[in-house]
Amino acid sequence: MEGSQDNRYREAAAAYGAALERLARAYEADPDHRRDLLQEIHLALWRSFSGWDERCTLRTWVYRVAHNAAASHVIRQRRMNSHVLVSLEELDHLADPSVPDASHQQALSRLLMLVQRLKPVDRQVILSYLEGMDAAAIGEITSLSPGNVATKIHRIKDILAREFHQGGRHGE
Amino acid sequence: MANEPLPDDIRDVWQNQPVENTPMPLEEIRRKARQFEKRISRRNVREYVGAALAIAAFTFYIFRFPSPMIRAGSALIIAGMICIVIQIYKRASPGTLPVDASLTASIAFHRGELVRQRDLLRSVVWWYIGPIIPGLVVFCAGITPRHGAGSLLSAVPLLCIFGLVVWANHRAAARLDRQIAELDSLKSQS
Repeated sequence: MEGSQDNRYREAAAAYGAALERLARAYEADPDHRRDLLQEIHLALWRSFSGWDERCTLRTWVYRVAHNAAASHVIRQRRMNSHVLVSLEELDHLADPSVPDASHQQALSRLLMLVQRLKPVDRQVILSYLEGMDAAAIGEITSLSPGNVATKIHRIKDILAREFHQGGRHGE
Repeated sequence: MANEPLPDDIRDVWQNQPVENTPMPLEEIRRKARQFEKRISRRNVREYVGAALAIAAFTFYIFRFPSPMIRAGSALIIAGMICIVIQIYKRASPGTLPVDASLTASIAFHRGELVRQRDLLRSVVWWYIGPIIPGLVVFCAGITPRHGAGSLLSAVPLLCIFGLVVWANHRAAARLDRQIAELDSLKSQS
């Protein structure tokens, strides 16, 4: 039993280790707390595999467990008062297209700031989108309806286009 | 403007950000899991040790004092302590969230837990202090004839402690109310 739990965890950590690190970065800005969060996510994942019945894909399971662990961490840290979290709809009005930006690193910093301002479910959708998932996979992870996911992805694309300008192409 | 990425490129920027990706050794994970379980069991033990000590003390009084009133008071206090332990077990034990629950369900679960804890703190008079009062009254009445009316004054510090407990619990409940409001503000528009 423990052997299969260990093997499943190893498989998940090998396939999604980097994505989990990116997810932790999107939930926790402080480097020390982020390290703790990443450990909490790995621990939650390992524990979860004792009860995994393979009714969903490994990817869906990993992301659900990881987002839950991250959201619990945020709630426990009670640091939500330090900055107001907004929804995609509110962010739509707040996006500032006038900020000049050129480098890859700056684009990443701006993207992180944008993601870290979002409410948990919207943050889960945008992170899944950024990880390259389609609407069906995002719906499976978030349990949102396909229509709701499609609407949110549409808004995400609009916000990203506005935030990073449509006039150019990175690396050109 | 020419170097700014489009949304599709943004996914590349995101996915190609530098990460350490150092795997967490399984032994380390098992060690942390053991630590977590020890912490939970230590917390549970702490909750019951106080009640066990009080029950032991009042059991001693039953055998030590010949007065029927003191004995009856001690027995009532023990019964009250047992009521409190049962209430802690039934009402204060945290629920468990399925690890693969959706994020919306997870937030709803956390909210439910906060509401349960808040209501528990607000009703502390009924389930934490109430069960002790009858025994305490009988016990104090029992020691009064032996040591004079002054011994009734011994109840005053206890009443002050109870008052402090109620005040502290209501303060904690108000703090939970603020956290519940914060969680409500996390709900996304759909």
